[in-house]
Amino acid sequence: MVGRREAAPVVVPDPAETTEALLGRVGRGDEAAFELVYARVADVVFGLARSVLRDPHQAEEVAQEVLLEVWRSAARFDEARGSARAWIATLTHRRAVDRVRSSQAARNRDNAVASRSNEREYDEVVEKVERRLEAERVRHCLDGLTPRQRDTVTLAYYGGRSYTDVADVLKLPLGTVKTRMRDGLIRLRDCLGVGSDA
Amino acid sequence: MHDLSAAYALNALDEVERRRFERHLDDCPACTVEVREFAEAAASLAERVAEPAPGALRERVMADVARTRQVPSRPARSVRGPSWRRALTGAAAVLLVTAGAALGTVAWQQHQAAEQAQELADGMARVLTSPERVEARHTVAGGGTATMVMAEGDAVLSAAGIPAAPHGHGYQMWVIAADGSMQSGGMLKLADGDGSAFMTGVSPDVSLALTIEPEGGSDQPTTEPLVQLG
Repeated sequence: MVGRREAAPVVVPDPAETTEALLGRVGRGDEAAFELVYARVADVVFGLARSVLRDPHQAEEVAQEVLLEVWRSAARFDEARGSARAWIATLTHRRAVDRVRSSQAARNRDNAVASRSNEREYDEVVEKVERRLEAERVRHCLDGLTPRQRDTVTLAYYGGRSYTDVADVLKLPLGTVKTRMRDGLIRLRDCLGVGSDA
Repeated sequence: MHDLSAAYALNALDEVERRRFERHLDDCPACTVEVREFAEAAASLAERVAEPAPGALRERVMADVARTRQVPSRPARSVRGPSWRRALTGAAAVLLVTAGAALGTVAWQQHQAAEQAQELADGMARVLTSPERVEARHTVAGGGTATMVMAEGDAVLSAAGIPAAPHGHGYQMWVIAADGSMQSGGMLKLADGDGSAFMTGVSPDVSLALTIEPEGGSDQPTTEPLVQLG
C-alpha cells in the first residue's frame, strides 16, 4: 500500500496580480513573484535591447543585467513615480543605449564614413521597426505623427541615438530635432492615452 | 531646459545633459509629470518590439538571482512620491492662493509649515495629473518659460529658467479677470530661476501674468507683463 504524503502548502500567485504588486513582493525577496515578473517582461526587455543593440548576443547580455537589476532594486521601485512597465523599459533602454554609445565612443570614426553608415543604420532601423510594428494601436498612433516626427522619435528610441546624432543623420538643426522629438512624443502620448493617471 | 523632457525620456541626451536635466527635474513639477507621461508612451513603443527571449536567459537570470543580494528600500526619511513633491515639501517658495470667486477678490497667503506644504503638494499633484487639466506654456520675455496648469478650479503657475530680477525687485503674479481687471497674486519666489505657486478657487476664464515689480509688490502692475497665460 502506498502511503499518501501530505503536499506542502503551495502559494499559488494570483495571475491577476499587477506587476506593480508583484514587484512589491520581489522587493521582499520573493523569488516566485520574480519568476512571474520575468515571464511578463523578459520578451520586452530582450526585444528592446535587441532593437537598440541589434546584436542578439549583446542584447541577451543586457537583458540579463536588466532583469537582475529588477530583482536587485525592486524595493526601490515606486509606483507613485510611474508604472512597472515604464520603470523596466526605462532601465532596459538606458542600459542598452549606454552600451551602444560606449562602444561607439571607442570607435574612431571618420566623419564621411560615419555619416554614410549612419544613413544605412537609419534605414535599417526604420525598416526593422516598420516590419515589427504589428500592434495596431501603436502603429496607428505612430501614423498620426508627421513623417519627420516619426523618424526622429523612432531613430532616437529604437535606434538608441542621441538627439545630436539624430540631427546629424537627418541633417537638421539641433533645435528642430528637439522640437520634433517633443511634438512627436506629445502626440504619441495623447494618442496612446498614457497620461499620469493611466 | 523644459524642451529637453522628451529627449530625456527617449534617452537621447548625453551624459552631461542628462545629469543637468535630472537636477532641473527636482525643481520642475511640470517637467516631472511630463517625463513620467513620456516614459509611459516610450514603454508602449518598447512593447511593440518584444520578441521571445532565449530560453537559456531564464536559467542564467534565476541563477544570478539566487546569489544576488537585494538593495533595501530607500531610507524612511525620504518621502515617497514624485520627486517634485519631495522638493516642494521643504521649499519655502510655495504659495497658497485663495481666490474668492464670489467677491472677485483674491487673498493670498503664504504658508511655510511642512504639513501645509504637503497639502499644497497634494493640490499640485491633483492639478498636474487631472485628466481635465488645461495647460498653457509660454516663453517669458527676458528668458525662461512659464507654465499654467488649471483643473477643477485650481491652478499651478510654474516658472523655470527665469533670470534674476534687478536688485530690489522681484516677479509679481497677476490674475487677470475676464473684464481685464488685474489683481495681485503676490510675489513668485524663485530658487535658481525656478518657482511654482498653487492657487485655489480660480475661475476658468482668468489668465495669469508676471511682471517685474519693486520688492514687496505693487497694487497694480507698473511694468509690461513678461508673459501672459490663458
